[in-house]
Amino acid sequence: MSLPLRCTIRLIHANDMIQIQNLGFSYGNFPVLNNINLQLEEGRIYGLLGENGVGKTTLLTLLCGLKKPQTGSIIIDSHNPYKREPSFLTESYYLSDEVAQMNMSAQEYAKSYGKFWEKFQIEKFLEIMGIFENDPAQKMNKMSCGQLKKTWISFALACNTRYLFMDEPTNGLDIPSKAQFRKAVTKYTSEDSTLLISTHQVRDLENIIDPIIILDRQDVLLNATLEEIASKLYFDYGTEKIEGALYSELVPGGNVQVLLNSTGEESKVNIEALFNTVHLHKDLIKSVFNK
Amino acid sequence: MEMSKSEIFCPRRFGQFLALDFRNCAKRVGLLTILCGLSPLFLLAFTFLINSAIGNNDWGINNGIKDMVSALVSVLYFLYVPITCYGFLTDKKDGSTYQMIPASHLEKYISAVLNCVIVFPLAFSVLNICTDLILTSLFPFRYSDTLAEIINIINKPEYLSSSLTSFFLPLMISSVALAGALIFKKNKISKTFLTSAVSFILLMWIVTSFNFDAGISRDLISTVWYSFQCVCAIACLIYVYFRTKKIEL
Repeated sequence: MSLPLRCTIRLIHANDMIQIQNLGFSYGNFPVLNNINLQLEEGRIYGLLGENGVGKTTLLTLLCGLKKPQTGSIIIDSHNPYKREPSFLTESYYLSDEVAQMNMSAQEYAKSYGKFWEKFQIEKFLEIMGIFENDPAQKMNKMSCGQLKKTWISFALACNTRYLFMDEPTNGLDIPSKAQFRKAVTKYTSEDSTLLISTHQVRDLENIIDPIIILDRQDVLLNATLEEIASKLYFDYGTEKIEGALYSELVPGGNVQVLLNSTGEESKVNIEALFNTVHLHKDLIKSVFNK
Repeated sequence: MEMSKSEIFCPRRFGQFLALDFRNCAKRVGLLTILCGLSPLFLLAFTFLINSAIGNNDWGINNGIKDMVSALVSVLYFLYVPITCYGFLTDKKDGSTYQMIPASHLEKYISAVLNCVIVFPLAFSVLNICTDLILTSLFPFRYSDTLAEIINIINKPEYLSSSLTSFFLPLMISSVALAGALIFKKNKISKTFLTSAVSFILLMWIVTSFNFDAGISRDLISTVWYSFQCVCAIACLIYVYFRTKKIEL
């Protein structure tokens, strides 16, 4: 029996995942991450959610090797990211929230820097720039904030890395660009690529992120696939108030209410409602998902 | 786990990175290098204009003025270039873009040292000396000695003491500036300049506070001074190596 492509890749790279163990990091006396344990599987697009200041950006910079873990360890594909070995760097890309303005055209930048990433494809870069309706001949330091962001997103995707870390990629993008971003991410990332996207704009990425990681101050509240979430929580979109709902929010046309899924009935996960539920019932959610 | 050789240094990748890094540096300081290298021409033009304004036709540029202007431009240039080319390394946005380029730390380090301690200072010095040589040969009646003679590239016994200075001093200043680019987060040029000046004054004060016997030769003092320059340059370059290796953004 032949395995589906995604499963085959999983078997081949059974050990090639991101392993975070007892990770700790603080800025001076202010602890941000404490005893964080996470395992990220290959071939998935993780959504990293959390309130301001919980350490999402710190976690991403630790993963790409720009910071050194103060306690614990991060192993990616048997690499310690902080060593910044070329073989690791060529397989990873970090797209920062604040992107640099370079004194050259986007195409020139892609040509001169892209060659350092083994799998970089200039054609792909130009194609994605086309999707974003961005002019590759325009100088990067003359671009608007959104255009610049789209250029860096195009470059990041054209690098074809196995690990792609994106910090608030949809910040500064206009409405059509957000849809173009979703299209680009789903179309131009390979099956074995692992993406970790930190965002506050969950609606921008609702249909592409799975699993969801919710970070809290010094803790991981949730790390689960949408399937797992739907199996343990039920999202009701009716008009009637339900007794015992963990979370309830009035939305146009009714309510969105979150309940423990006792019947096994399937429902569409509303990530915003999930996020609020997790924050309201931290211990309960942790116990439900750690069973 | 031991790193493979290609993780530490790969000649092909290094070549690519050096070329890229050189282009970026040239964009930042290329024009400045040309302008500073042409400083003898500006000095000549300035002196000509001043003397024309006061109606003096019998003017010349003496060695003292030429040496002083050259020293000032050189010190400022050697200080400015490394900070302008690599000061961004401590910046979160630009620094992380640079750190994430798939080249090894050793390759990035050698490239930085080559560019801002050797290539650009050398280009500036050659242009500066050549401009002066051309001007001196075009207007011999306005000059007494060439810059090359003063800094003793062309041997002249009376200028012997400045020959080593012209070799070690640029190396030391560029290395100190490169270290300053990584030590300070803001106002890197002024802070590096002030720190170096204060350190130099302190050093001079310590040295002069010793009661040297009259028997100590001038050569010995020169040797100590050159050794200090050399040690200072090496110490700064070692600092730069470890700072860039362990930098967190």
